[in-house]
Amino acid sequence: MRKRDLRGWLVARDDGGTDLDAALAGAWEDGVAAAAQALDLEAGKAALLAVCGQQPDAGTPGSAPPVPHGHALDTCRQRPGGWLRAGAVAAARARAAIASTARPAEGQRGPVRRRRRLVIAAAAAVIVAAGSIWYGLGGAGRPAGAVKELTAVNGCPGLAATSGTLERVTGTSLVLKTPGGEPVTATISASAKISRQVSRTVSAITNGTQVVVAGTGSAGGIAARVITVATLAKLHSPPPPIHRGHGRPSRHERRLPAGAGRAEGTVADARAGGFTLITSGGFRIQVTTSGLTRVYTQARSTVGQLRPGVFTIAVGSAKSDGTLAAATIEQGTGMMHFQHGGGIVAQPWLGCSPTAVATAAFLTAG
Amino acid sequence: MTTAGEKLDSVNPAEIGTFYEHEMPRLVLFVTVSTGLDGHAAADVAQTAFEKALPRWAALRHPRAWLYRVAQNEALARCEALRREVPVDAVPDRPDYLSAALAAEWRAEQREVISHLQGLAPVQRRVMTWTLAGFSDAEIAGALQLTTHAVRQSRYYARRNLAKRLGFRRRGSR
Repeated sequence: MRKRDLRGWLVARDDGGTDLDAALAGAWEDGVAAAAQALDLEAGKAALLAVCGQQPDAGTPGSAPPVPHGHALDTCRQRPGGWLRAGAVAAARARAAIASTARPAEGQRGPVRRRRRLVIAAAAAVIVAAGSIWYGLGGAGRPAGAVKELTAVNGCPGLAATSGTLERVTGTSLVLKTPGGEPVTATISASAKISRQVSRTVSAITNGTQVVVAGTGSAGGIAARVITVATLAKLHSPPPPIHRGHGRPSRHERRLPAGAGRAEGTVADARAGGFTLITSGGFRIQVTTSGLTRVYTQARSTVGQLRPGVFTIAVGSAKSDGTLAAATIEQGTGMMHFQHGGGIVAQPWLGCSPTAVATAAFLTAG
Repeated sequence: MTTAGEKLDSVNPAEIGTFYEHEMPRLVLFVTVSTGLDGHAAADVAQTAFEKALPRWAALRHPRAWLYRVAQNEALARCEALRREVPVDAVPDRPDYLSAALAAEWRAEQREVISHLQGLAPVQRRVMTWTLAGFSDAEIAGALQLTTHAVRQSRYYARRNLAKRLGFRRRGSR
């Protein structure tokens, strides 16, 4: 089948419904992005291949057992976590246990109601057991802050973070020295996203770029001191795309005094010496730049490119031994240390992926 | 990279893995929007569809359409089972990461669009979700056992209803 560009396919038709089609396509594509973030695709893929004999389970500790085939409909609803992030192992265990407990041999099935009770009772037992295992492993139910020098991510259960100066890199392990002076080890998987801060010139800021601006605010706008170019595809919600009153001036087209000296949004009307920043609420802020304005962005990196002595943020899940299984590593000099004890706060519009949390911490720095 | 809809000549784990990574989020969203199942159930339905597809992958002429059709049937069967079941005990609450992610990702306007999409009549909703999933009229007709004319007609009414409910000035078309 020919692959089609959904948005293009829908929007290209000049049939009077382009606004509707764009709204539908936008919601769909953003929904796909959100689903991709929420799902633990690696675990699901491994389970799929294991089920079908393509990748036999090696029996490593914590790995999901082979999942019985063809009984999902009547049993999997009872599973505690589905194939969603942080729940795959417990789910697979639950699924296997439920199957062995609740499914009598052919020809020995009891009344439907009795079987249903058995299924639910088994599910409840397995949920408790799986939950205990999960808690024991430092999963979502466990406050990440309980692990020394790991910081909870408020609003994102199951995520933990740490930050500090990178002391050394040993293979796929990083040792960070936290502000409290404690070394914290972060292990990096092959799929971990690593990035580091790089400098850019003001000319890198073009229309449509999503940025965070920090500087001196006044009623006339912001004199930018530091501009951070967003590293996520969707830094924030852009101005409402649905204009119900065609030709009517948008109520969002108004100006906001930028007294706080800090704002984030999408660049418009980029020109020499400044640009207009459109915030998520539709406010327009005039930003002026100068030769003193510094521009940073995050670039993809490798473990070998991380530099000792530079401030580093690691986000992932806490392990029972006090280390962090890092899913995202970000390094840069312009980032601020976490508020240890209070935890970091996820930005709702960015979501709860490790990258989004690292970016949230990054954006709230300075 | 194997793109969506391409037929895989053999069951190559790497290609299956790539296809899975590409299609799984789309399939989960498809199930969620078209049936209203929560994130866990939708992910489970999608995973089940993949499990069923993989053993016969090489024999499938249109694996992607087959996958979505199986997922849809699984989801509808599950909805029916949920309707019939009388719970004897409460299932403990569990965090729905997908719903949380969608809530974080979707703006208010987008949530409104999806809400109205889910409020359409069943056939219209299915035609629209299949369309949004990128299938052609012929593929949708085959999956939903409709004629292509009926598909276009349902989409016309669906878009008209959506445009009306969302306050768009101009009406939808086929």
